[in-house]
Amino acid sequence: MTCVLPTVRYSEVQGRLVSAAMKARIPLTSSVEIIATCNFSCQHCYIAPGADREDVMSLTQAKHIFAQLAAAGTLDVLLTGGEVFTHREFREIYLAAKRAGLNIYINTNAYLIGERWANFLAEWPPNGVSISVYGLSNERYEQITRIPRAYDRVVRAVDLLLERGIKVDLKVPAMSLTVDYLPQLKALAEAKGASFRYDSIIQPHEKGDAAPVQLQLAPRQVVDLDEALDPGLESLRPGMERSVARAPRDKVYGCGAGLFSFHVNVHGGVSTCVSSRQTVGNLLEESFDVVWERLGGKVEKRFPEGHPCATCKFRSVCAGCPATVESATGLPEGYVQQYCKITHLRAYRLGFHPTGIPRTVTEGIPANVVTPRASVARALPILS
Amino acid sequence: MTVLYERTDGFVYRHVAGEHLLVALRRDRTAPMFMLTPTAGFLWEQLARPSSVETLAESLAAEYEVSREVATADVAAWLEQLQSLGAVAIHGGSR
Repeated sequence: MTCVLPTVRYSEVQGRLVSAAMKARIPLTSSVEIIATCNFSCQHCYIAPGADREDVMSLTQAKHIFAQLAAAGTLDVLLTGGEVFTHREFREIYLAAKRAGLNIYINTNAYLIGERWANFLAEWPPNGVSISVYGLSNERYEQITRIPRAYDRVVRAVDLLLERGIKVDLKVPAMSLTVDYLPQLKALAEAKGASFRYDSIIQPHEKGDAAPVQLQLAPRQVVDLDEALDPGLESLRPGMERSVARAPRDKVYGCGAGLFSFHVNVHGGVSTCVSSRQTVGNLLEESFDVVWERLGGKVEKRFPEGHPCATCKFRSVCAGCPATVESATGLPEGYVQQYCKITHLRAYRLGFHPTGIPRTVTEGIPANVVTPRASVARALPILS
Repeated sequence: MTVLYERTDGFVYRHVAGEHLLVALRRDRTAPMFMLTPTAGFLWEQLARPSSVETLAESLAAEYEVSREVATADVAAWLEQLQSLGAVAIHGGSR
């Protein structure tokens, strides 16, 4: 017998936790939206532009939710918004989450992070800070965020955090307003020692406005960008190989949503993930177990008869996911040909598909499959 | 005089997905999280109130059916390690 602590790598601990959580359906990871409003007014945002002043989680509500999460077995929590640093009680909410024994990650635009916040985070470190970046100049930032001199402040915040040993991740929405700057933004992240990622899917606003989708890149632009950042698309190859080796399944959800992860919105509503705005219950009104059970029911959904995704061998590497499909069509089991085209084009360039053209282009989409609502369909770029 | 040990307020204990974890609150720890063996997790729970090596060893021996000698040696090693991490301190002592 030994009571002495074993030395185990963090990645191994995480692997064991995720594996156990998947088997027992333990809600291990979550995101919690503590405020929906933001100090930026980004054109592509699907949350803040329609948010109201009262879309703020109080400290009392946050504590109640953190206690429920901790009791249910949640370990990793992403605090997200809106812009979390604009929350008047962010410091108290952050410390409450820490004291509940949660591993905290933060989503932010970093505009408000000066020395004081950087020192606070250095003393009470998060596991990581994920910063949205939009360009390499104040002018480009202002065009997207409508806030002057934001670039200088954000870059300073990145430096302040990195100087204090805080793990920083720079992420960019890949869209028509940023596409030309992505390679330089990646180089900036590498030069500073931050990790880098981008997301090529732009969602309609959660309250229905499809305007952000007008900024979506066409499939060929997306894959050209992939190649510019990753010549030969080598980082996509292992996932593609695994995906084609697996037998297609008719289950809509193949990710961890509802299995070991979930999202809590600013009013306590629970959805599959931060990209899904359809809630199945509310942690401020119901018990966690009841809501978690209901979420489990949602992710058991199956595709309707003849749905093109049900037999697609590229589904686990699809550019879209049930949440982004849900935001475009209203249903997680809908179908967005734009995502399908991006995925097939990637498969073609990697040698896994003969033409890069999805079957639905030549054969059509079955009539019983729900496609993007008219406003979103109109906003999507002309397909290449 | 019997030395009593107690938990510090620098960590939060979690039992998640079958793993016993100590989550660090502040920067001045050597890692953000530590993993305990099940027996170490048991001892951590016993430390809910200040306890001596002897008391902890007695609980351990009773729970896991080991000799007092083995339990005492294990508890001493465990306390030394947790003290070095800053998770346990001598009750009433400086931290």
